[in-house]
Amino acid sequence: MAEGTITIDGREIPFEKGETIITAARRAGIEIPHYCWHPGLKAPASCRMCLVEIEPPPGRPAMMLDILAWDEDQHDYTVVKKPKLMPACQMGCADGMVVHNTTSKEVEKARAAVQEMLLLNHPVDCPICDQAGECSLQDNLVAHYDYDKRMVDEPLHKVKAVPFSDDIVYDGERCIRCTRCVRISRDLAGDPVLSVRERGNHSEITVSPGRQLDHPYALMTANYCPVGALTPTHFRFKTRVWFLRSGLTLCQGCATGCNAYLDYDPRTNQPYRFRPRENEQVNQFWMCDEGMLSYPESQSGRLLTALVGGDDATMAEALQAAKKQLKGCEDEPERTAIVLSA
Amino acid sequence: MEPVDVELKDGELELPTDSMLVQMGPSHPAMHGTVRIVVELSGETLTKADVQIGFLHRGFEKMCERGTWSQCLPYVDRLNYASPMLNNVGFVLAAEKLLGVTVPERCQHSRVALSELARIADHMVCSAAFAMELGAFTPFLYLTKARELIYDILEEETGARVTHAFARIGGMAAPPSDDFGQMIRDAMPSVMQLVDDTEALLLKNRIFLDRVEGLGVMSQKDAIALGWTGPVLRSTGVPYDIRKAHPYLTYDQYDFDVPVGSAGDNYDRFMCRQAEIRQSARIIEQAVAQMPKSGPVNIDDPRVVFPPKDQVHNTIEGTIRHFKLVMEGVELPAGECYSYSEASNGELGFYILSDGSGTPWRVRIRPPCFACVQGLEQMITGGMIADVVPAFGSMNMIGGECDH
Repeated sequence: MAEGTITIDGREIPFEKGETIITAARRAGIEIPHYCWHPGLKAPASCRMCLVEIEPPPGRPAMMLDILAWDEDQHDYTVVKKPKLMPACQMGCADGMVVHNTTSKEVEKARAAVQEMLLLNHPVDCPICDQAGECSLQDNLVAHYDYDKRMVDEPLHKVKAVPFSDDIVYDGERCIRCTRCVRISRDLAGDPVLSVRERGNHSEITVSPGRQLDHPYALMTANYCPVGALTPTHFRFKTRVWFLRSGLTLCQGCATGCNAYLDYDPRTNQPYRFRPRENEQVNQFWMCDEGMLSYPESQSGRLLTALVGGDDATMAEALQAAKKQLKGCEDEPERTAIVLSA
Repeated sequence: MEPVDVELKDGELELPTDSMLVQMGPSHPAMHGTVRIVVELSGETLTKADVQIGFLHRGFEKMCERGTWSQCLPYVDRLNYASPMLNNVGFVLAAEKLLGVTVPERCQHSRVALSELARIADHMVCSAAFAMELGAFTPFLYLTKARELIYDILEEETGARVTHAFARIGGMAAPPSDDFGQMIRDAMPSVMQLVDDTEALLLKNRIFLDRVEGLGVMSQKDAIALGWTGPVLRSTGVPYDIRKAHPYLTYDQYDFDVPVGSAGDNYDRFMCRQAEIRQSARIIEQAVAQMPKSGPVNIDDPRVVFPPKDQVHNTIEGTIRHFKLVMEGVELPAGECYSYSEASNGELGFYILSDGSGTPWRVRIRPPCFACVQGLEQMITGGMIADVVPAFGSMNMIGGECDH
């Protein structure tokens, strides 16, 4: 039930009780750029990419902050005022709220600054990174950042290709510490095996001592990693994502029938991976590891010949066997059930 | 069959009066660019001509819809392969019109200089082939030698002699070299001397003049009605040149004339091209003189212009931008535009339609030759079959652009 409406960039959209700006915007088809926020997880508001400008309520002064800005005329930093921006992923909607997402200069500047900061120590890895082509850093750089790199120092170097388990490999240099993987492990899998250690530039994701990232939703951490920091070993260096095409499918691993995308190479029809597909009624955003790794079964191990009791048989023999088993069913058709399965 | 040794009196000998159907082309030395003319002959006189184009159709417009906007450039190079730089510049002008950007002045002068070099080369190819088809082989060699001098400059500047793919949306692949002006100043006297020598060989030559003067005539009214542009239109006396009528780049800053003919015959078309070579030389001289020695060549927009290579290799920002521009292309705003420029054969138009992505939704070319070739039938019908060759040659049909 709509609780009221908010206005984003001049467009009025309804919101439901308890919704944040980014959730209401997403339902209305407005994309607010983000890294750390995910609709299925709690919002830490740590990446600051979704900052928006919110107009003060009528009759109230705007919340302004003092900041230092470079003044070209005086050739010095001077104190100027700037409206305080709010993270759209944590800010709840209130009726009549006026939000500026793409129409605010301050928001543009803030997003460019966030983007610049995230890339300060990022390695030049796109050519060897599996995420290239579906990376949020790439998309947001082109959309929100239009000046050259200003940092001239040697970037910070961190751990690379750390196996978190047999299935997941971690790259500290690419990681932007959005903590999605931490929250997936803690909130979805209920196994807080990942955490952030160190602070600032030096912070990185780490596995609890003596443990491995081996809970049944470990592949979800790699799947929802917005950058190339967590990569699944089964997909690592196998192909490039722009060669792949996605087909809509269901996971056949169990009766849940999780909605999924099957990514395959149209040139060879070889499947490369599953990706969970959002379905509120079935699997929300998630899939378990066993299901995620069952993608080869869409091609190999398909039942192509008849079997009787597990043994190879010709079609005629199979029909004969079926006829034998169904004998007598015509007397009690209401007590007969046949299960067909793909 | 009748026996041949039948005794016949002279009065009984009859030549057949049926007309004869002859197919000229599509593979015939005089049919440059693979075109077929099906002619109906009565003796040596053409009673009917059917000009059939399309043998060089390569689906260039459709191919453009598969790549990014930048990937169209090698395709447009191969439209008029005698002057690829003009096509390059024409195409990027269309994309820039849709983007609403103007390239820096240095780039504009550089584009003009390179374009006019291409125009000279193109006109020389046409004149050379034209003379050769009439039996004059020396002018062909002279003009080809002159063209080589121009190709040397183009190779030095762009890295390729013929198909450069050198223009970029929002600039050029590389700034003009330091020696660009000097190379031109060194080469142009030799080029112009060869042009003069060619004319000296041809313009007092009775055989040449007899086959070009008063033949292949097109009236001014018909030329306009057929949509002719470029030197072939100007040879009929219409002083329409897009560089003067609707100046683009820096053409309004140069002092040059638009040569026109009067009769619209083979001779005037040949002479218009020769005169335009001299005008282009004047433009080039002014362009390199006015071109700033330093300064930006590309517009300052990282979403359009490819980052410099040292940034691509050393910074993540450059790598990502390069990756995005290569994989997804320059995103032109959704919309359509028609942009036109003066190519060597006339108005070269590009109608482009963007859906806002990096891939063209539709690219349509208006090749100058396409309109010109429509007039060929009218020019040659009623004439002698031997006059097809100079009439067609003076038109400079280029299959690559005519057949899309």
